[in-house]
Amino acid sequence: MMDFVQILKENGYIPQNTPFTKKDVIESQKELVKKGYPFLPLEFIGFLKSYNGLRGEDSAVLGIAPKDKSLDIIVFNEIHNESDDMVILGYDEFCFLVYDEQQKDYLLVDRETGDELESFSADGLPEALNSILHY
Amino acid sequence: MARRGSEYRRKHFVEKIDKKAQEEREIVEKPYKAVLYHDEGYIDDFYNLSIEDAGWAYQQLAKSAKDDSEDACKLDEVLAAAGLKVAEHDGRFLHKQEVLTIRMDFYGTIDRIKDGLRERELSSYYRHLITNPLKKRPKSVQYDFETSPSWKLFSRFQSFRRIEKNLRAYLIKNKIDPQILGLMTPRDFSDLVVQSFQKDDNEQKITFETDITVRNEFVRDLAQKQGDQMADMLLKQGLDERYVASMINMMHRYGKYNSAKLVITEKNFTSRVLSELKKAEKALFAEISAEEFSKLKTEERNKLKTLFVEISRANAQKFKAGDVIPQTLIDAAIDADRGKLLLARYEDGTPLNGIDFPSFEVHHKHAVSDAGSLRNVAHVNYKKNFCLVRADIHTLFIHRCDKVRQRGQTKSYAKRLEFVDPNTAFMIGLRPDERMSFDFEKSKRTKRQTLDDRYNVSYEECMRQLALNQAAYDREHNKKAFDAKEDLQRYKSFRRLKKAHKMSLKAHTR
Repeated sequence: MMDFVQILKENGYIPQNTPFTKKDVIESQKELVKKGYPFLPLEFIGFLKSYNGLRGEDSAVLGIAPKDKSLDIIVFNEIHNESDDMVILGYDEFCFLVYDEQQKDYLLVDRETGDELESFSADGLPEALNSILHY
Repeated sequence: MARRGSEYRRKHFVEKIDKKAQEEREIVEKPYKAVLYHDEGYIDDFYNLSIEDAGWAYQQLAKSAKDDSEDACKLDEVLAAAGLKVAEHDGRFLHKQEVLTIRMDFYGTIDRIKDGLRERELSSYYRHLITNPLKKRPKSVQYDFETSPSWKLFSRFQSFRRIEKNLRAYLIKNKIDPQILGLMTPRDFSDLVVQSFQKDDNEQKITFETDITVRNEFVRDLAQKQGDQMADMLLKQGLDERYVASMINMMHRYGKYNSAKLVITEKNFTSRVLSELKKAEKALFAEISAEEFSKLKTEERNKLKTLFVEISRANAQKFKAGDVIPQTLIDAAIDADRGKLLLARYEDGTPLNGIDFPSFEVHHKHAVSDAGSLRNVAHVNYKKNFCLVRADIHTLFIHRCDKVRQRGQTKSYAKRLEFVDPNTAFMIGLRPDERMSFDFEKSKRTKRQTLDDRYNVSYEECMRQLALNQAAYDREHNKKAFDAKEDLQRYKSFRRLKKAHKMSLKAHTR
C-alpha cells in the first residue's frame, strides 16, 4: 500500500496531515453497519490515513467525513448502494469500486448495469485503487 | 346536519392546518421536502436547494412518480428545469470487454495484470508464444493485424489504431510468431499494450495514448472556444477569481480539470510574489549554470530556461504590487512545475488549495451501456457525446440512479438522465444560466468518424472467429481434431458451460 501512496505523491497528490480521529472511524463504521453495509476493510482505513477522500481525473476514492462532502462514504453508499454485503469505496466514470465482505474481495462493478467488470483478491486493494483512480 | 357539517369542516380545517405546519417543520429539517410538499413555486424551491438536497428531491419524486401521476408530472417539470429528462434503456447491452475497451480509450491507460493472475487472465496461446520467440526475426508484413479478431475490437477506436505500429515493433523486436495475432484474446491485447508501453516493471497504470486523450481534448477544445463564457459562469457563482482563472487556464492549455491537482496562482503581483521572483531569478541562474543541469532532459531544460527568461523580464520591468502578472510568466512557471512562485494566498498568508474548490468530471451524455445502439461503439467517446459537469452534480444528481446491487444479479439497468438539449457541453448548476451548449460537429461528419465506421465490427462475430482460429491452431499442432462444424459447436458449448459454471458458483457461494 505504501508503494501506491508513493505513486500518488509522485503524481502531485499531497497527503493530508490530520485526516480523521479514531472516534470518526468508529462512528462511521457504526453508521455503515446501522444502514446495513459491512465494516470497512482495515487496509482501506490505512489508506484513508494518507488520503481521506481523494479526487482523481473523473474518479475518486471516498472518505470518512472528508472535507469534500460529496465524497462522504456514508452518504455515497446511501445513494448508490442497494446491496447488504458490499460497500462502495470509490468510483470512476464507468464503475464503482466495492468491497465484498462475504467473498473478501474487491470488485469493479459497472455503474449502469451492475455487471462485475474486474475482481481483485483480499490483498489486492492497491491494485484495485490503482485501477479506479486515474491520476 | 348543518351543525355536524360545520364541525366536520372545522375538524378538517384544523387537520389541514396541522398537516401544513407539520410539513413546514419537516421542510426546515429537510429542505428538499419543499419540492415534494409545495403545489406551487416548487421549481424555485428546487433551484434553491444544495446539490445533495436536489438529488434527494429527485430520488423521492422518482419513487413516488411510479404510483402518482401528479408526482410524475412534477418530476418531469423539475428535471426539465435542470435541462434533463428521463431516458429509457435502448439497444443491446455491451459485453464487459467492450465496456473495458471504451474505458481504456477514454482514460488512455491500461492496468497491469498482477503476475500471479497472468495464468488466469491470459490465454495459453498468448502465454506460450510470447515466451517462446522464433529464431529468425519475422518481417513487418507478416504481422497482419487486420486478420486478428480481437484487434478488430480495439481498432474501432482511433487511439488504438494509432499504436498499431508500436505493437508491431514490439512483436518484431522480440521475434514473436506472427500467428499470435489470430489467437490473442482482447485481454491478451491489453497485456501486449502494457508490455509495449511500460517504462519499467513497477509501473502499474500504463499510459498508451501518445497524443492527448479524448476527454482532455474535449475539455481543451471547449475551453479554447468557450473559455470566457465558462469563466463568467463560474464567477457568477461567487467563486474566487484566481481559482477561476487558474482552472480555465489549465483546461485551455492541457484539457485537465481536476481541482486536486490545480495550482492556483495570483492574477496580480503581490509584494510577496515580487520578492519570491527576485530570489527565484538568482536561484534559477545558479541552477542553470550548475553541472547537473546538463543531465536533465532537453524538455525540462527548455522549460526552466523559458521560466528564467520570463522571471528576468518581469524583474527588469519593475512591476509593482497590484499590476497584472503576464500570462506568459504564469504559463512558464506552471510548465516548469514552479507554480508555487506565484501561489495565490488569502490575506492571512494561507495558500488557496484546489481541493477547497469545485472539481469537474466528464460525463457521457450517451450512456456507455447503451453504446450498442450507436452505429459504432467508438462514437460514445466522441466530443459531441461529452459534457463537462461539476463533480458533485455529476455524482449526486445526474448519476443518481446508478446502483450497486446484490452480487450475481442480472443486468437491471432501466433508466438514466439525458439532457433535453443534446448539445449541452458544460454544467455547473441546476439553473438554466448554469449550463452552456456547444455544437462540436455542427452536423458534419469528421474524418475520425469516417475512419471509425470503416472499422465497425460485431463483438460476437469477432469472438466466434477467434474460437475458430484457436481450434485451427490446435488442429495444426495435432492437439485436437475438429471439423469446422465442431469448432463452432465447441464454441457454443463453451459459452453454455461457462455460464452454467458461473451460475453454479454463485449458487454455491450463497
